[in-house]
Amino acid sequence: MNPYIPNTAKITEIKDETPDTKTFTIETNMQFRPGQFVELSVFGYGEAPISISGGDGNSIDLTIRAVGNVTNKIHEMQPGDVVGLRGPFGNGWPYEKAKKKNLLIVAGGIGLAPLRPVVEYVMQHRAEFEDVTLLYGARKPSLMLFKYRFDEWAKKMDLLLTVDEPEPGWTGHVGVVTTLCDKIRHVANTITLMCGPPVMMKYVSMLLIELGFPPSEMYLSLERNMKCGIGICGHCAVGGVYVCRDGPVFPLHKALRFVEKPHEVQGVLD
Amino acid sequence: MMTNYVFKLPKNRIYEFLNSLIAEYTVYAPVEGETSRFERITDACEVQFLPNRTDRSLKSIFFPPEEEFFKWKKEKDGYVVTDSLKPSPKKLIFGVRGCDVRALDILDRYMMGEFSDPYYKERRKNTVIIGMTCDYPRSSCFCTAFGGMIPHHYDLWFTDIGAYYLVEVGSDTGMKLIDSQFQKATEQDIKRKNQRIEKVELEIEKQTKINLCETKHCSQKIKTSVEHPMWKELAEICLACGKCNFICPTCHCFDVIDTTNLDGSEGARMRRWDSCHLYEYAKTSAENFRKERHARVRYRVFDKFVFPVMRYSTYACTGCGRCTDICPAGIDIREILREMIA
Ligand SMILES: Cc1cc2nc3c(=O)[nH]c(=O)nc-3n(C[C@H](O)[C@H](O)[C@H](O)COP(=O)(O)OP(=O)(O)OC[C@H]3O[C@@H](n4cnc5c(N)ncnc54)[C@H](O)[C@@H]3O)c2cc1C
Ligand code: SF4
Ligand code: SF4
Ligand code: FES
Repeated sequence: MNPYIPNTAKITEIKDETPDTKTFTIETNMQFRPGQFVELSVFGYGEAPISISGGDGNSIDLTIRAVGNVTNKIHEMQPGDVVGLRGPFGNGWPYEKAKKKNLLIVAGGIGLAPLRPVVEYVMQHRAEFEDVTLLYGARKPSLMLFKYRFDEWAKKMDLLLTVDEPEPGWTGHVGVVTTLCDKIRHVANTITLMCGPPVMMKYVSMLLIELGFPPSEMYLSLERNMKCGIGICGHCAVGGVYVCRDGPVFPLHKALRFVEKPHEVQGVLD
Repeated sequence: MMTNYVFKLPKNRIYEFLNSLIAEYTVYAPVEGETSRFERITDACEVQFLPNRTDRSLKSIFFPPEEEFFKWKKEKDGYVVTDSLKPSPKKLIFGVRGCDVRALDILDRYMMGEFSDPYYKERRKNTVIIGMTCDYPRSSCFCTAFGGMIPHHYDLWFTDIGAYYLVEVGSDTGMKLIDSQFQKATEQDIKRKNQRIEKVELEIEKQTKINLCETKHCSQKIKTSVEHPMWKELAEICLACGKCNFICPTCHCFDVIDTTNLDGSEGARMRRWDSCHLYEYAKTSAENFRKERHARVRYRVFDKFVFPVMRYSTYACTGCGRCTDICPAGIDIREILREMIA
């Protein structure tokens, strides 16, 4: 099998999430682990690595922010249009490690997309975990993803939301994600999964370490420039690891020891 | 290994030998042009017998600067995708130097080791290597830092010993190429060959003054030079042009590009050599992870002497000196190494 050749797949549904982000449901029998990603092709425009934000064996969801070539083009597409998929790639979240333990999920902005399959897993298998906390921050309330799921999620976990700038109608917390960290109920026996902008991951890591979370139980997903997804083109390499193959999820204590310290953890434990 | 199978070939028989190979293989050999390089030859008289390595390496034979992955075509109900992978003929490369054989070993680890690149693999399989000892080094050569002129793997190895080439057999495939024109080598011939290699290697060592053979130890030393002031000094003069990457026989990074016709009904996806020195290399929609030039200068050096040692237990440098020769800023990889392992 040639790993560079995409399979064609049909878009079956498109849902608006925010003014610049949509969730595309794509017909495919791809099996995946939460936290894995695909290389999405829009023929003639190129490829982009996109996290799988959901799926049921007959389709996968991709939640995509329009920022460039491929992502702008797919935003113009309609149900019935055809794209290409390669993958799934990457290691995914080690959420099984949190079974019989507390699970803390920290997401910023579009970073909730790769974590959503874990959240939905928890919804289906709530009894496997002890305390579950989802801490989600966005710049504005209108930029939050998956808002239509919040009421359901809140029934089975502590859902802590925050925004940098409130908008009319917002009654929740205001402030960066770290300002919510004192609401986390458990430090001991907790597995943390984290994805968001580099600065967010850096400050959350620092604060959680201060609160007593061990770096070996905190996992972060790194975003890098990716071309091949299979450990050959070199673009995603950081300090001797290929984020596409060895990651994108790394335990914090390992990321801290990369020869080139990733931006996401620069300043952490320095 | 059949290193004890040693023959000699009268020099005036080399053309006949090469033509017999051309009859059976697609043969590549050094040719002179604006820059010397390996090209496909159809007659032995096209071969240039150069004293040392070619300006260009073997890389583009197996990993061309541009290469098509597939073609796509829009149909009524979607797209048809056609793989552009073509069967590759049986290749024989004549006149390869030790550094370039090592470079292929290194490329193989990147492209067919842990991960597999079907396009490279197709071109690389069944490739016969006939190597040759250099007569004297180029001023930039430092292969002795990586074990010297003679690599571990080859099919045949030629050394000029005067009126003859001494020919060492390194594989079954190599043995099959030995025909009646080859004579058994004598003790004296072998001694002459050894003296020849020793003499040239001594010359290289003299101009190099680096020994990296204890890979683990030296790599460790280089690894600890992350904060060395040298990186910022080099970044002041490096033009970030990427020439050192493109010329390097082991650099293998690529970009992926889509092309289309005017109405968007058909097109192709291809890859093109890329360079970690270029500003855009590690840029994402969120951040440019090696925005500072010194981080990119350091990255290339670490990706030769640190990361591949961690991952593949080898340096990704062969000491060919091509990056030194081509650098418009006059940056010499040997000086960087001396600084780091001093
Ligand atoms: C493992 C992984 C998972 C990812 N998951 C997701 C995901 O689930 N959802 C998601 O949306 N993204 C995700 N990304 C990010 C996504 O891959 C990038 O945004 C992608 O490069 C966009 O491709 P493109 O062709 O649209 O952009 P390109 O054309 O490649 O453009 C990207 C570059 O151009 C710049 N650029 C071009 N146009 C604009 C513009 N209009 N505004 C600002 N900058 C511009 C960007 O700054 C950026 O440097 C993920 C990345 C990785 C590595
Ligand atoms: S880094 Fe320079 S000397 Fe080493 S193999 Fe590449 S081009 Fe040759
Ligand atoms: S060839 Fe020289 S100037 Fe160009 S990127 Fe390499 S080191 Fe810098
Ligand atoms: S994306 Fe090509 S090596 Fe990781």
